[in-house]
Amino acid sequence: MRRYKVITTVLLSAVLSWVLLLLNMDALGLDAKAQEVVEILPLWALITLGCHALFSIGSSLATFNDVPHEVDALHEDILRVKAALQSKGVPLE
Amino acid sequence: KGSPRGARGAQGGGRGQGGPGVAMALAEKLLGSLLILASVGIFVYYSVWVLVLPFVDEDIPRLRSLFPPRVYAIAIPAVLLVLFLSAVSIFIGVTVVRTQRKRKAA
Repeated sequence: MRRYKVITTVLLSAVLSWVLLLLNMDALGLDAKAQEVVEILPLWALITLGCHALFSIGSSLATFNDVPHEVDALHEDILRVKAALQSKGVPLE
Repeated sequence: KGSPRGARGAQGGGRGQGGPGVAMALAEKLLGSLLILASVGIFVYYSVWVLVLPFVDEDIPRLRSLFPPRVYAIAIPAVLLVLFLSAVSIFIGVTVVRTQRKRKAA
C-alpha cells in the first residue's frame, strides 16, 4: 500500500507542476523553444514509460534461467505419483 | 523486497513439465537482447528528437538530417496509439460478442 501511495504522490505532483508550468510559461519568460519542450513533455513521458516496459520484458526474457535438471526430476515425480495413485484405484488419464 | 526464492533461485515462477530446450532458450535470450536494444534505441532517438533538437540553434545539417520534422514526433505516436487502442477494443468487443453467442447457443 505504501508503494502505491508513493507512486500516486509522485505522479500527482508531476502532473500538477507540469500544468502550472504550462499555464505560466510566458510569465516565467520561457522562449519559444523551451515552450515547445514543455508542451510535449507528457507525450515524451508516455513513450519513456513504454520503453521502460519494453526494457523490463527484454531483460527478464534474456536472464530467465532454465533448470533442465529440475524439469526431469519433476517429470519423474509426476510419473511416480501417477503410478501410486492409479495402484490405489484413483482414475487418472 | 519480494518473497524469498526457492533453493534453486530460478528467476520468475517455476515452469511446468517440458520447458523449452536449449535452442529455444537461445532464441529467448536473443529476443530479450533485441527488445533491450530496441527500447534503449527508441528512448534515445525520441528524447534527442523532442528534447534536444529544439535547442540546437546552429543549423548543423548533419544532425537535423537524421530526424524528420518535429510534427512527426507527435503524429507517429498518435497514430500508433490510435491503432493499438482500436485493436485492443476490437478484440474485447469480438470476445464479448463471441461469449454471448456461446451462452445463447448453450
